[in-house]
Amino acid sequence: MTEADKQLLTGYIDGVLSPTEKQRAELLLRTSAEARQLFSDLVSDSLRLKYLRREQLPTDFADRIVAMVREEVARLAQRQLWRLRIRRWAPVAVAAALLPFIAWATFVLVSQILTRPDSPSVALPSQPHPQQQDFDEPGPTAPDVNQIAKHGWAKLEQNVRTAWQQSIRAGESLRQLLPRSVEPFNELARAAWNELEPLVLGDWNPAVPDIGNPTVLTSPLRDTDRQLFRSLEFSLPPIFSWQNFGQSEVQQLLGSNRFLVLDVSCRDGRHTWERVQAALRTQKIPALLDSRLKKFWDHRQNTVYFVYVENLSRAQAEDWLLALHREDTRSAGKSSSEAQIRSILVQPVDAEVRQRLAELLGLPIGLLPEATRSPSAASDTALTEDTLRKLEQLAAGQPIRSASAQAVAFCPLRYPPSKEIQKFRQQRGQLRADAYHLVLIFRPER
Amino acid sequence: MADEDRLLIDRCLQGHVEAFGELVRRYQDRLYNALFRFLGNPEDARDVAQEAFLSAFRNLKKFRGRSQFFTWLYRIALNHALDLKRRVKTSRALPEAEDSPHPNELQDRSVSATPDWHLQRREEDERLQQALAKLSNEYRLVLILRDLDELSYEEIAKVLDIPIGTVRSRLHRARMELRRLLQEMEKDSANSTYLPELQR
Repeated sequence: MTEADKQLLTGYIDGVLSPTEKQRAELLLRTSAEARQLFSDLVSDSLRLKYLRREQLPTDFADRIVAMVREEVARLAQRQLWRLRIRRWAPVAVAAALLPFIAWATFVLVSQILTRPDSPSVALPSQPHPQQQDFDEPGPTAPDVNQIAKHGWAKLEQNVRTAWQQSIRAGESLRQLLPRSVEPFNELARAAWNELEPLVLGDWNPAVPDIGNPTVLTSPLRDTDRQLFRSLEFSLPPIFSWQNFGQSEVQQLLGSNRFLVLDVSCRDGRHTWERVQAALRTQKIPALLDSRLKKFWDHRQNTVYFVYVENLSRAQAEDWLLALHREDTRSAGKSSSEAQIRSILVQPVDAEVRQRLAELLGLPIGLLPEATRSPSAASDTALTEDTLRKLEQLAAGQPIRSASAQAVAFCPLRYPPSKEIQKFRQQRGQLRADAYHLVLIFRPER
Repeated sequence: MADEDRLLIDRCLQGHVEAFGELVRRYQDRLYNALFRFLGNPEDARDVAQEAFLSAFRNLKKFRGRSQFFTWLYRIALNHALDLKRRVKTSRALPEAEDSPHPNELQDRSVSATPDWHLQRREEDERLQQALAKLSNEYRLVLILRDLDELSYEEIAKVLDIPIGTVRSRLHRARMELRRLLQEMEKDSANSTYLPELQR
């Protein structure tokens, strides 16, 4: 077998031959036993390489890399800040260093003026004294000391004034130059801060609260009676006033879709959660609270947060919403206007909402429910089935609880996924197509 | 390039270091395995993988997205690996790994995973790794890229910065060389197994 034939076979293994070459290779394999043997060996080698035992890195490898990267970023930023500080103060230091030099130069200049014997300012062509001229012998005239001193002082004064004016001018130009020279460093400082900000403030994703249409939620319309909305001609997302919330509103709300995104306007985040949790407890739905959200509350930060409840039966969803209303209004006492929740607005479930939710929960988008319309006629059947199931469980002495329904409350922070979110991901059951899934976005008053 | 990679890279460039962590998690084992097979030493492979990821982060701004992120990362890692080889100058094959099971070895819990099966597979792996270690860097690289990582000829050409024709011819020569080495090793092993019987 020639070298070209062998090369043909390796190309055949990788599937990179042209149709003609492929035909030639196949002919070779049909006719030559040696070629068949080599081909078989080469395929075997290739497969052995492919299925070579795979090693794994330690599980914390990525975390260590991230920590190293963080350290490096922080170190670079620190270095940049120091460089910036040095450069900012450099002109001042230069000016400070120049001042003694200028003073020394002035001193040297003045002393030279004063001490130079042949200086024209000192050796003035003085007029001879009239009396001296009369009585003394003609000879070299003695300089008039007073005049010389006077003249010297005038000259000195002039020089000092000139130096002063020059230093004022130099100072002025320095003052104009400084802000311009500092500006690039300010930009550097801003750039450094941009690098540092996520490290200092955490990985806050400000885009997340904009889920859906937040402008509607903060509008003054939220306290208005919903009757008003019915009279409006243009289309608004359905909004339910909490005061008038009841069985028919729940039916209406759940009648639209199996996957609902509800925007809840409330007073205080933590107190509202306590009531949500109490309502979940009445339905025996296990709920997890993100520890980071708790931290926000501990620091008195009234942040927006999400509650995701999945795999609810129709009856469970109805009961839970009614229980939430009951808990909230009962806790508020006689005056229902003191309730934590003010209104509920139904958001459209679009791709963006699902994407955001997937990001926050760290789940592939395919594992989240899709917006499917609730079957209008099936609601009663579902309710009956659920009631029957509960009765059967009661009769058998079993506790009434959902097999897979569970809830998680979390804040819109993507990284790092909290241990509660990880636990939620591990514990969640298979997503039921016939179940109801709710995402509640709680927006407390600022 | 995968959209998800692009998104993660964009987030990294915006200063979200954790997004880089996602990229690392995505490719760490794939890269590590290729490096382990190329360098033949788990510690060196781990160090080079670490260096490669750090270099990738430092140079992320320069990544234009013309090739896949993994191809680019691979190129960086190979440069580091070749640097290391040049520095060490001695090809350390796998002997240490032969004596003790690797701590990170994947446990096969399938029905066929009997002790005999494990032993046989380990022996085969070791023989193959020894043969790989005897190959020149050029041949070993091209085989790892093609058979272990299943890169296409175009991707291999990009990683190694050579024309596709060269990839094809080099791959052919590497396969033939590996075959020759394995045959020799099989022959040696057969001799050592049967020799005592013949002596008897």
